[in-house]
Amino acid sequence: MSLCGSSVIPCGLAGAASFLDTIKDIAILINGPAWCYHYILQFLQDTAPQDEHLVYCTFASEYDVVYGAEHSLEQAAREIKKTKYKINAVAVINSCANSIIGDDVVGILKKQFDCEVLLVDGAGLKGDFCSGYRQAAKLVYSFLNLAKPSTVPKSVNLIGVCQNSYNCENDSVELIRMLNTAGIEVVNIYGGKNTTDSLKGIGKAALNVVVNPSYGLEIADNLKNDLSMPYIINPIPYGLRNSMNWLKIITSYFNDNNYQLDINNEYKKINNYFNYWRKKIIKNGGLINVEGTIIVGNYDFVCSLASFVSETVNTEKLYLGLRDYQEQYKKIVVSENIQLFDANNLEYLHQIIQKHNVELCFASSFEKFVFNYYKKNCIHINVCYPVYDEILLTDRPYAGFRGVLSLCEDIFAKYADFNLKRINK
Amino acid sequence: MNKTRSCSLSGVYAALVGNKDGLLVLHCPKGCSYINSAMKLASQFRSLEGHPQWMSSYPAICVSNIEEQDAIFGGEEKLRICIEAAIKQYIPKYIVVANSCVGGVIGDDTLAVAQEMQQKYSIPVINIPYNGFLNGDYYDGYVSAAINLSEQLMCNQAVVNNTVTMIGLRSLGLTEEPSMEGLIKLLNSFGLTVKSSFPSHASFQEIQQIPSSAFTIVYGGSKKSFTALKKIGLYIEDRWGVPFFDMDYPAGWTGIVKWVNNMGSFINKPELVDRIIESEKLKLDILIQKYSSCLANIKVVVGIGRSLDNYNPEWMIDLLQRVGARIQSFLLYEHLTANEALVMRRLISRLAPEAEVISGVSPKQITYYIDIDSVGFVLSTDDLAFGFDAPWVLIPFAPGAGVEGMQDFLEMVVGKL
Repeated sequence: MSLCGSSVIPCGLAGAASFLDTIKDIAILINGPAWCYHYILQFLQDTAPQDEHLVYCTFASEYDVVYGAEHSLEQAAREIKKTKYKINAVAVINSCANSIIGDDVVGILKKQFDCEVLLVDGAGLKGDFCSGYRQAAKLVYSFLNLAKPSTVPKSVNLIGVCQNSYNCENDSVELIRMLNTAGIEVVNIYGGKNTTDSLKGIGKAALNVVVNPSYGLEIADNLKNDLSMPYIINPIPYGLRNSMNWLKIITSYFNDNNYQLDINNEYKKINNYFNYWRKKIIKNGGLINVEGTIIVGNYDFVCSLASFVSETVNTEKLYLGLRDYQEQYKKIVVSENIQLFDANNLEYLHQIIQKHNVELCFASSFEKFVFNYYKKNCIHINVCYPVYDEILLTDRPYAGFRGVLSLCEDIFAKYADFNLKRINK
Repeated sequence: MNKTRSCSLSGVYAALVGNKDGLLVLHCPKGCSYINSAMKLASQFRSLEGHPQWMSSYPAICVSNIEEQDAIFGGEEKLRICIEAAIKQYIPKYIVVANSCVGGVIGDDTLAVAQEMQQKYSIPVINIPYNGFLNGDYYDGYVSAAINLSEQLMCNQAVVNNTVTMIGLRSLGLTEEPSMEGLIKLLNSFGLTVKSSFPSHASFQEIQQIPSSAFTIVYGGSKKSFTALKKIGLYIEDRWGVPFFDMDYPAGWTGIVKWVNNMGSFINKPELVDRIIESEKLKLDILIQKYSSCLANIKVVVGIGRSLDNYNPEWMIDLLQRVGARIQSFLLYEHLTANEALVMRRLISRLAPEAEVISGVSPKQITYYIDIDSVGFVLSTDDLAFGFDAPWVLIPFAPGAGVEGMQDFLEMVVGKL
């Protein structure tokens, strides 16, 4: 953990709101100051501007922190009741200061609402975005009080999707498309757009696929314990081989090869596209040559993207910056050419970019800024937040089969410019 | 219930923006620092357009990372470790320590830690006496940081004639900096030059030399910001003997005339006043003529969700009337308090008596109140609904200065038509 240096990851409050915001009949009440509320709202609007966000606030003052927030909670409840939407639950997220004072938030609000009141307490103090997301996801799971319905054959849930991950919606659509190609139905995406009713049908799926263990593993465990639903951990795939393997792992679970021809055809088609353009753009039709490549994100994402890089790029050194860094990961990834580091240790990040010749970067605007700061020439592709230098308006995925083409488009588009700067240097 | 109250942490950060010699230590959970680093990053990318020199001049931000157990046992030791590590890593010339609401609730004595560190390392370690949103807001943090920097870093200097220090320049990413060009031109026409900025965008040495300025002016943009920033000017006047020009920068034609008259008297050059006003009027006439061709008789709807203290629409209404636009209605947004809406309504009735005023409007649902097909464009202080299907312009937080500021505004409007 780096004590110095500011965080590039939003707080637990944002993580909790991110999960709760996906459930359209749950109203979110931030029990905290206006500042935290506006920051959360902006965060949600930036990543899903087209959606209505049912987020309210108690607009806590110093008075609330000293004497209790009962009055502000009641006032906020009156605001929530004005909504034109049907609310099945109110989820309160306590800000850091409000969680310390220990108001009986649920007790106060239960007098105001007929529906359930859920409390995410002190998410900001307990951890980062991911921990807040998990806290909210578990809370909602408990509220659902699931029973086991009859199973839909050859069906899955995708568990651990986070709509505020970069390009998440487009990637989810691609994963669903791939699964449908293989004749597999997707019953629910836990973390995707839902209502409390749609979530109650989650038990219908024959298998849970945990696509992001940091967000979804605990829920998959709960579903296994409570409803005897099996799960596999199969992180979101990037790259052609990875995508093929991802699909194979799921289809082999169902022991169904009826659709293998379709899948193989798609694989070949994309591979042909890729090779055609590679021959057009890269000398001798080989791989893109760079000295060093950096990938930043959560562990599973980084490992998956590294697989894509190995298919397309000839890089001498691979720097993998983990935003969910744990020492144990170093034991898993053992290679002289691969260096794992804590992406939150900003001093170390600066050192890598300053001292090494890193020419390809899959990260956020933050890392791009550091490259600019040291005037380093680099092919930069945004793959995680925060992003301030481009906007997502189209439906191009980065994950799955079609994602391979999008990623290649982006790299090739920047490759010529990069080489030009390399020559001029 | 104050729905717009901000946090003093962000004010302290804004005060230090662009100060490469300083270091900001936030005594808060790590997540709070994300808000500042996100604003900083957004601002930096935006700066590339107009102020590339700001790219590399931001202060380091360090965070003590208060966690759940610190809320029980206290976080002073973490703050101490953070400051010491930051001094070794960044070798700053001064440090500013800002405390959060969490630090305030658990009662950490940040002042004692700051004093201890100052003594140990012999560099100024300035403690800001606010706790996040609890006992202060953005401007409290900003003003306190400025006054403390002034007290601890400035030195007595010989005065350099005709030089001005601009107080209150802010560039934070959440808001766009209003155009300064108009103000600088007006100052130049009086033979004055802007020597430095304070408290932001100033190096350690520049801060030390601010008492050499002939006088200070404030770059406010609203009654609220001017009232707050004025405290800095008055403090510097009182402490360092640098006179303070007690008026905000000029927005709109009435503002320009008043500002030029006051400045002529302040620097004792009344003979320049008429000539400058005449020259500005000529620029304005050309501007009005140019934009009237696009905007005359166009129906306009104005949505306002800021109180009069934060946003005075007078200059904008006057400008729209000058180009011949017809303001059809004003929508006062639902988040204004009853009193704020009443004050705004009275002002609007005086300035544009023919326009309809509707209160309690949600900015996301303005189509319920207006016939979009009959409106030329909408001006709004708040974001409208995603997919809102008519030309609309987000009204900047602060108006541009001088005739150039008016031109920026009209260009923005015409660009959306």
